[in-house]
Amino acid sequence: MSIYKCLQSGIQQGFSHLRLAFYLWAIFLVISVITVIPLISLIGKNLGHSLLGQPVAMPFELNLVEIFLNHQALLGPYLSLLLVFALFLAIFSFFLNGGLFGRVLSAEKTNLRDFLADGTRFFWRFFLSGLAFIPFFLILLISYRILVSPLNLWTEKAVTEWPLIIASNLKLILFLLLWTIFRLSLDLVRIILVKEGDRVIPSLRATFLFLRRHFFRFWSLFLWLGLVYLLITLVFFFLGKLFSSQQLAGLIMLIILGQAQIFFRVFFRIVFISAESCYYMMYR
Amino acid sequence: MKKNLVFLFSYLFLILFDCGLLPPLVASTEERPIKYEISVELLPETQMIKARETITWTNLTRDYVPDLQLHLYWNAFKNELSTLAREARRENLFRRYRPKKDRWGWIKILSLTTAEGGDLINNSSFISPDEPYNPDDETVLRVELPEPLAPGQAIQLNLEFQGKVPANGLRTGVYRDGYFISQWFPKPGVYEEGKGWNCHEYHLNSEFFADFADFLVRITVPQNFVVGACGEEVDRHLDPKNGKATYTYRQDNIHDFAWTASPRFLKIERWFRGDEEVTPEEYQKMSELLGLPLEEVKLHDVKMILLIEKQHRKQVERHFKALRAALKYYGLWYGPYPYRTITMVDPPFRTGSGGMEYPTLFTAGTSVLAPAQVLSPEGVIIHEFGHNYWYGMVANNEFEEAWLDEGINTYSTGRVAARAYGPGQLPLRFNGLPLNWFIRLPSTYDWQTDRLFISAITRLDPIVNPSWKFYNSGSYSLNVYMRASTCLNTLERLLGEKTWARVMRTFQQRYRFKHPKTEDFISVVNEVSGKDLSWFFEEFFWSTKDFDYGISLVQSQLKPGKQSGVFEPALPGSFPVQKEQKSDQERPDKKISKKIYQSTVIVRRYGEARVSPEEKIKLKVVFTDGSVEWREWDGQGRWARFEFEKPARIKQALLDPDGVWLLDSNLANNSYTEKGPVARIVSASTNLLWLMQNFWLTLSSLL
Repeated sequence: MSIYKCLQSGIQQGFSHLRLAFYLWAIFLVISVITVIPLISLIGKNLGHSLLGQPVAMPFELNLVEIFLNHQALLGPYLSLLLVFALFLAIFSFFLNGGLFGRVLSAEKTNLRDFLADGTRFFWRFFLSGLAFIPFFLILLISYRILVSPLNLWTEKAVTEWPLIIASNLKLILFLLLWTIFRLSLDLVRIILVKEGDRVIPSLRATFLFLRRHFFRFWSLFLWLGLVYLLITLVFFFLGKLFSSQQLAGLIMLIILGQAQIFFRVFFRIVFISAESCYYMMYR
Repeated sequence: MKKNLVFLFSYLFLILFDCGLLPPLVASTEERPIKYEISVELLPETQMIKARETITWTNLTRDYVPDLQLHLYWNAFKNELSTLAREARRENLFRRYRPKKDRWGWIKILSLTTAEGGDLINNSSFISPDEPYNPDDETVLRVELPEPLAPGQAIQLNLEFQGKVPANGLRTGVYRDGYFISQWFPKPGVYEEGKGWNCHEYHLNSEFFADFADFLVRITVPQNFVVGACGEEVDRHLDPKNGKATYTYRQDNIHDFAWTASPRFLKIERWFRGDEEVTPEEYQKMSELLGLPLEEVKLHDVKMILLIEKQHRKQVERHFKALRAALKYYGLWYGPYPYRTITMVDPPFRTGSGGMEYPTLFTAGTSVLAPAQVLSPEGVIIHEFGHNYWYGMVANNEFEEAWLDEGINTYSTGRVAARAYGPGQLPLRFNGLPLNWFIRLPSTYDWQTDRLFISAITRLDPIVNPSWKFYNSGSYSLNVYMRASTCLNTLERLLGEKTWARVMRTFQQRYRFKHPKTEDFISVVNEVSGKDLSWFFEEFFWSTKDFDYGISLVQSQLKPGKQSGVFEPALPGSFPVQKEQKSDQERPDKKISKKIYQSTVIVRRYGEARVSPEEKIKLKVVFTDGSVEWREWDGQGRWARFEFEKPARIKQALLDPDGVWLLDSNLANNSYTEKGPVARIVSASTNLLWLMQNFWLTLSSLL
């Protein structure tokens, strides 16, 4: 019952923080536009005045691949650009998460100023919590290696392809499940950091004390949320298949649908945090 | 009753056929230098083979031959010092070929005697004929003869040998109880008159070369094993006491012999009937296209044998459909398949032997999850069967000029697949699952993907190059398969369907059961087309030049109404005067009063390669009033300017409008239009943006 309540509360909170979702969507849009511009200009420069399909008809995707292959010398500089942005975003994410958690867990209405203020306020503590979780990430990897070893033994002795296909997908699912545990623990630390105003180490201790008592129910809440997210994403995916980019209306619909999916992704991050927070507040 | 008689005769025919009592389809018009008789036993408990082999080698040259050189290919898998291992390590591929638990493969000759009983084992030593010299390689054995073999003289060698089947072999191997046995017996190289032995080491990036021979091979395996091999099964002897079975295979006029055995095979046989697969209209059309009598294009009946892993049993029909298409189109285009059987093997799981050709037998390979819209296994079946024509019958030296079989066959595969199936979706997978289940992947023809890879070629090697001398495996395969295939597709478009069909047919028929070289192919192209296309091969097969012609500038400007400047006066002797001169379109005395545009198209040769001046590159320019202008450029300079003065602007410009030059590494610059494909570019851009947004969001969510 409490899981259902928290799910409901999470979604309600998500809707009450639509503005926050919009800020995040806009920030990621700007970052993405900046990093995708070199690719788009490359396409525009090469195909902007091209008669596709003439003189040699090729699927459009192959035209794109051909352009990228012809400019493979640019790959190195472009990857360097992406790396710089990735490093920037890695640091910037602590700020964004600070603003996100701060606003979601606050009772007040969201505005840009408060979002930025929260980002600044929690940046350092979120950064430290990220560092503190590195050992747990290593534990996650080691656990994964141990858990998949029976699957490896199974595939080593396989006489058909089936064990390979099944095992590789089971490994993927296993990794995702372990990742959810890691993720929910990190979220919980940050919720406690914001809610209780604690420092990182006490928050960590409080997190593990809480998880010791409520791990499975808390994890099931997280998995339910994940399932809902996955199902709705699939709906986007299937809706996308209904439209063709060959026609103008279809193209416009696809663009809208794509951005709606991104917005939904950000929105659901808020739902996750709200639901987790709801559960924590209920049982702390 | 009549029906029963027909059935009875058919049955008798089949029995005679199966027993090898009918005359072979392959005509023995030429004497072959080698005869093999081999008895081999598979020992599953040790994963070894033991065998007796008789090689009768006849000196068909005018040379006195002092020695024999034998391939012992399995020694490539013997240790970390073989040429194969060294080359694999150089490319960081050694882990792929290093056997687990040190189950190395090897071959050891236990005895080597002449028919007279002379022991030659002490006269033999391993040699390293290729550069760089590798004293540790044991894949070529030189056997010094007691006395040089005179022209026309034959020698019979009797050998006993053992071999350990490589565990992680390349093209051959064993996994549990599944065996694929190839390159397994001591095999002489090819003696070339005046040059000596052509007998290369086992290389990473190379296949093989051998002389045509007659084979008789007896294979003994445990009774529960299903066996497939090159040629026809002519006898089967079961030995229930020992739980063994011996299968005897015979085939004349082939240059290699491979076999496979596994208890997990299903063996299915079907017939390819030439008169059922090809309609009279198709025969007629082909006869006209090739300029040959109808009888010469008719196809024979062929027994198709499929050995397929039980896990793939649902794909039996797909395998036969692809093989029938291959038998039909290769047969129609290049001449009927001359052997009576073709064995198609879905290779035993994890034996590393998929997608490989042997005379009258080939391995394909599929997956339990094989979507119908992806042409896999069809593509590999067509390709490996096709090697019976290009490698099997027209038996070039794969070590030295691999393009002659791989390139021609890649080209041929694409043609057959396109004719029989149309385009196929890209075979992309994630975690063993076909991505076609989740997203719509583009459907492509082989020639499209082949030509795409030209752009990826690092331009490090020419197409004609010894296989082991390519920069790496990537350069080898992109040049030898894809670039060569694209060159042939270009030639086809350059010469036209009819001429090209005759070129290919002539080359196949003239060099069947011979060892042609690149020069022989060029001679046939020149002879049949009546043109000297040697430049094409110089430019594209022996050089590494990039080929890229493109349009660099298109502009249309309104011709000015008035021309300013100093003009000669109408009266002679007067001084020139500065004034404005009215152009044609503004002169009241002229009837023409519409706008005139001065248009320019500049075309450029971006790459180093160029066409022959005789071929000329065409330029088609379409104007806004619908009129079309054609120009030709010899393509020798770096650029050329074409100017037009017309009452309309340029709407489109197309270089090579017939799409002949598939070799062009950048097709995007071959055309110009004012508006461009806006919707497509917007769609691609927004897709990229969406992918990037998801990428950054994922990265951010990790922290």
